Amino acid sequence: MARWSAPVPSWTPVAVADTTAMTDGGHQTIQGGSSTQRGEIREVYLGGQAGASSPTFMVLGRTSTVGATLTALRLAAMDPSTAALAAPPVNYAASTTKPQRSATLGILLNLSFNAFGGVVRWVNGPDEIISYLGNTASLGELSLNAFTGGTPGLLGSNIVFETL
Amino acid sequence: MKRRLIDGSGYLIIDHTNSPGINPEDIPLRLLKTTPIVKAGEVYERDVQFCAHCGTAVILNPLRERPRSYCANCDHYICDNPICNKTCSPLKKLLDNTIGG
Repeated sequence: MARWSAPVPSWTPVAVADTTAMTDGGHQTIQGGSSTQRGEIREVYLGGQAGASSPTFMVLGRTSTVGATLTALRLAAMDPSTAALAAPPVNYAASTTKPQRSATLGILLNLSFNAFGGVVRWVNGPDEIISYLGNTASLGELSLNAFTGGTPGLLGSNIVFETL
Repeated sequence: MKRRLIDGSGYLIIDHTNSPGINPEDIPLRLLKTTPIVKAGEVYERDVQFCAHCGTAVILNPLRERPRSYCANCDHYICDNPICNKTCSPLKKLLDNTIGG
């Protein structure tokens, strides 16, 4: 199926504890477009843009409270022949109801690095899945956010995922 | 054709070639066991597998000597979490059941 690119060119993560409302602009979250839509993450890229040493403990995981009234960010089909979805997934960093990282499923991927010159790239194996299903808690969202600790620094991120 | 358990792994690279890197004292306690310590000037590249039961990413340590946990039902690696080692409850089955209603 179609692959989609969800970039956020420059942002500073805001570290939060589990089950605590995230801060607008301090996270990147993908939410399913409908109650039955399923998508799989294929790649996550983080490029550090900080101007001083910034140990940044980024995690990708599920949210136990999903965002509502979302402000959508960029989402681009990677293939020019991709058909538009009736209910596209949403790449967002701001919402009225803030997402909260799940205490049990909130860390599926640990992408810790130093945002001062560091680069992280994770590519999914063909047999492996990190997927979202639907658009409600706790399987309907995947969020890239900062774990409490360190000094999160400016970075650019890109999530490539595939809707199924 | 034979298939090894490690086939189909994902890939993780953390490049601190031009970065001060991460020191152990910087890492939050809860992440200490799962955070690769990549110091200044180092590049870290590893295969990544997933636990068939909980879906958590597991970075494969090439120096590990004790056996990895394995589920014969799933024919897949599982993580060291005791809950995942107790019963076979694969994430893929949960997703299938949810889609099927």
